[in-house]
This record gives sequence, structure tokens and C-alpha cells, in this order.
Amino acid sequence: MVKREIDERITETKRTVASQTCGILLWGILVLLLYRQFYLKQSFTQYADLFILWLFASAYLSLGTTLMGVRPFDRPFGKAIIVPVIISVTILIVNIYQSTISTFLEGFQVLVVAFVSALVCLSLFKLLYTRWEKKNIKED
Amino acid sequence: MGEDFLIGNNIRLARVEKGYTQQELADLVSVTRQTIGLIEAQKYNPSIFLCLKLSHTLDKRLDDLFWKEGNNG
Repeated sequence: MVKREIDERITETKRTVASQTCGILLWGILVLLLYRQFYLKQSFTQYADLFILWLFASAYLSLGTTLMGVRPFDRPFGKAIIVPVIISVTILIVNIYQSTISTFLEGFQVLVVAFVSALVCLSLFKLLYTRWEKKNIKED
Repeated sequence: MGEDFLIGNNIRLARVEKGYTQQELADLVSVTRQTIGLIEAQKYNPSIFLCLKLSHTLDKRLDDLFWKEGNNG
């Protein structure tokens, strides 16, 4: 019989397990990338293919959920600014650790570029979600 | 809302009243026998869509068949 394909419990179970598997894969690939860069000290070209795959999958996951009506962050946008701050500081620390910057000006540039990039991404997600909300949610 | 809870139900009683086996009821509402069994054992919360199908198939009102566990039996 064809029941298995339309049984909601089976569909739900498969979705849950697939989602968990996706999470394992994404985190696992991230760990591999960090291992290759920081422990094996490989050049970017040696793991660029894996990085591109991870980047695309992560972007698809984030954009996909936002475009389907999942709020990108729960706190007000003003408080969500903390995320770009954390990201930019983390990138700065990593660069200092890897000795890729040697002056205050270089450090400041890295900080600004990382912060602005993260802020642009945050704003993009906010904008996409707001558009979805206006299109799909009718106010009383 | 948001906390986990199970839906209590009279599915088994209503099914037996109608003379259906689990497999027959499963076929009528287009799910597997295992799903009916889990619903009756209160180990799976059916969607509202499935709840309506079950109430229609068993000729029962929705709130006669299902309730939030802890409120009624």
C-alpha cells in the first residue's frame, strides 16, 4: 500500500531525523575546516571546495528558513547588533593569533570590515523576513 | 503554550464501537496501523487534520474524541 508516503507521523519523523543529520553534517564540516586551517595549517586552496560547500549549505539553510517565515532573531534589531560585534571581535582575535595583522590600523580595518559585513547580513535577513511577514500576515 | 503535552483520546473505544480493527481505521484515514496504535497509546499527537479525519470516520465530535491530557478522561 502507499500509506507510508503520506502518513504524517512517518513524514514528520523523517523530517526530524533529516534535520538532525543536516545539523551534524554542517557542524562536522565546520570542525573539519577549522582543523585544516588551524591545526594542519593548510592553504585555503586545499580546502576551498569544502569551504564553498559549507558556505552554500549554511547560506541556504539560513535564507531558506527566513524566506519561509522563521524569524532570524528573537530580540529587537537594536539588541541583535551584538551578533556582528561578537563576529567582528572573533575575527580580529583570530587574525591577531595568526599574525596576519601587525598594526593597530590593520586591526581596525579588519574589525570594521567584519562588523559591516555581519551587519549587512543581519539587515538582509531582517529585510527578507519583514517582506515575508507583510506578504503573509494580515493584521486585524 | 509551547510546553510539551500529550493529547488524550478515546480513539480505541470509538474504534471498537464501530467494529474497526486498527488496520481498517488506518486505511480509512490514510495512515499506517502503527500510527493508529501510537495515537491510541497516547505516544503521538496527531495533527488537527488527522484528528478531524478520525472524528469524521468514527462519527464522533472532535472534543468527544480528543482533549489535552490532564483535563479530562
